Amino acid sequence: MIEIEDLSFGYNKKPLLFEQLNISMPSGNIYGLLGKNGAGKSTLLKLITGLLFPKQGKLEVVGFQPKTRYPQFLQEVYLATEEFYLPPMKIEQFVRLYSPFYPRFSHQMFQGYIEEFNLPLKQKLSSLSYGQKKKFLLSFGLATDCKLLILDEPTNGLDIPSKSQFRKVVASAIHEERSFIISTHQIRDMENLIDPIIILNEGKVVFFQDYEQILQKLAISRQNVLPAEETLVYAESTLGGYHVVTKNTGQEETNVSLELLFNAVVSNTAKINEIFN
Amino acid sequence: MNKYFDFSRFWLLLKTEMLKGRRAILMTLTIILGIMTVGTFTEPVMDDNKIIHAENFAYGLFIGGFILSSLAFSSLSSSLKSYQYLTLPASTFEKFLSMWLLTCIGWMVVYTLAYSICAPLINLIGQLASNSVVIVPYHPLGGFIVTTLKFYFVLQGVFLVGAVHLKGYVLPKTLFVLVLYGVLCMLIFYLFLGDMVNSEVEQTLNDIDFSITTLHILWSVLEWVFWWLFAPLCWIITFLGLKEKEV
Repeated sequence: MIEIEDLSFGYNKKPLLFEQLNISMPSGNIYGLLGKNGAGKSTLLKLITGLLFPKQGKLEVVGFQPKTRYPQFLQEVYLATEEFYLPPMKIEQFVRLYSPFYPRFSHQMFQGYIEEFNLPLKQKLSSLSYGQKKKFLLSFGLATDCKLLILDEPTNGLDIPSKSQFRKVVASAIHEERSFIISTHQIRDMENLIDPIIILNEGKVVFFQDYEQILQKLAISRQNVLPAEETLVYAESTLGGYHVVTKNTGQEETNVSLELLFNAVVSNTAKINEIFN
Repeated sequence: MNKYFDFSRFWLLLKTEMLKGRRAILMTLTIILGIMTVGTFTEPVMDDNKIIHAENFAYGLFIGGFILSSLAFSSLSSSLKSYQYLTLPASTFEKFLSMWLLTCIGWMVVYTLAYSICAPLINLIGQLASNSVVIVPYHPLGGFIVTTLKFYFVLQGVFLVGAVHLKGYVLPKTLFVLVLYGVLCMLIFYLFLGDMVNSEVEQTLNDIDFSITTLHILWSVLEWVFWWLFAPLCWIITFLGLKEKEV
């Protein structure tokens, strides 16, 4: 689905953000792209969608070089950004106008999502709330049946019921030939949805593992005293104890807290690498 | 489906662009023709009390067309709109062609038709405003009108270049760049060829054949470049600008 080899990219007059970046993302997964502000998440998404061009290296998405922006490529990749512009027209008008550009657009699926999210078809897009607009973009993107759907901060602005609706809708829309990349800071909203997890830090992929591997190799728990130094990866003090991330030595199964995992990876990358390699 | 051009996809894109740009086209047309129609009332107090349609037509065509052309690719002026425009599944060539058709050929056709409809109204208002007003008749296919359309066809490309390469205030910025380039060219011409041309002009006054002078040859080359190279060059620069656009 996505093959990145020795990719280098930097903005003009600034040092390189990505240097010799390598990622391989097969289809059929919901990838969670995590990282601090300025880590390069949005830049990577723009490179994947052909909105930015790499300086060096190979970048292939759904069999195309994104830079070419061929229609056949653009039909297979849909980007729903955190901030977006929607033209001042009704939902049905937008769909009438833009859906023919996507050959596999399913009006039936779109109708289903619109009903699921309770969106008013006859209302102008500009008069919808931010959250409703996001739900509309997600519905449209899913209905295109594109091979790669990229969602940047999809749960920002969604109310609590909408967040679980979002998870339900996204989980139901994935299939073997399709992939989603969800870039977010709202990692609690993504728990039990994203797999594998990719963590970017200072332009490098510092973590790329699926849940199975994480569960096998790490244990995340709450403990009253700090565990031994050699197994400890990360600890956060909490009321009367610690939330700890440790090396999983006893094959014990724990619940993965993405927030703790992220903090552990960013603050102790060396130890994480040691455990996973 | 072709990577570069597919008629059904292009037609979809053209319809989308027409729908998106319909307000801008209608407003430009209404303002230009409105000013001309209402302005006819002032004809009796203006210079020679004459309505010269060919001149009015030319002013409207150029002003309206250049405004519209500067508004082409307006989606590229904002990052948020750019995401949608650049990721819309159509080829760069189709995107360029649709915009060129709308702002060049489309404007020429729509404006000529609209002016042809308005011309009798302008005549009527002119006669109502003053009995002595002289009306120079309007011939949509007359020589002057055709030449004006040809000039628009060539010059419009500059504003498409501006629309793709400049961000915000495209029309004034394009005009500024044009003036700057004009002054630069004149300066270069004056510095490098000024003396030679002056001496040739003096010789020409002494009955030497003008057609063999450097000035004449230079003018012929410039004329040829203007009519045959200038517009395609502008279109290529516009296309490449669109192709290489990053957000």
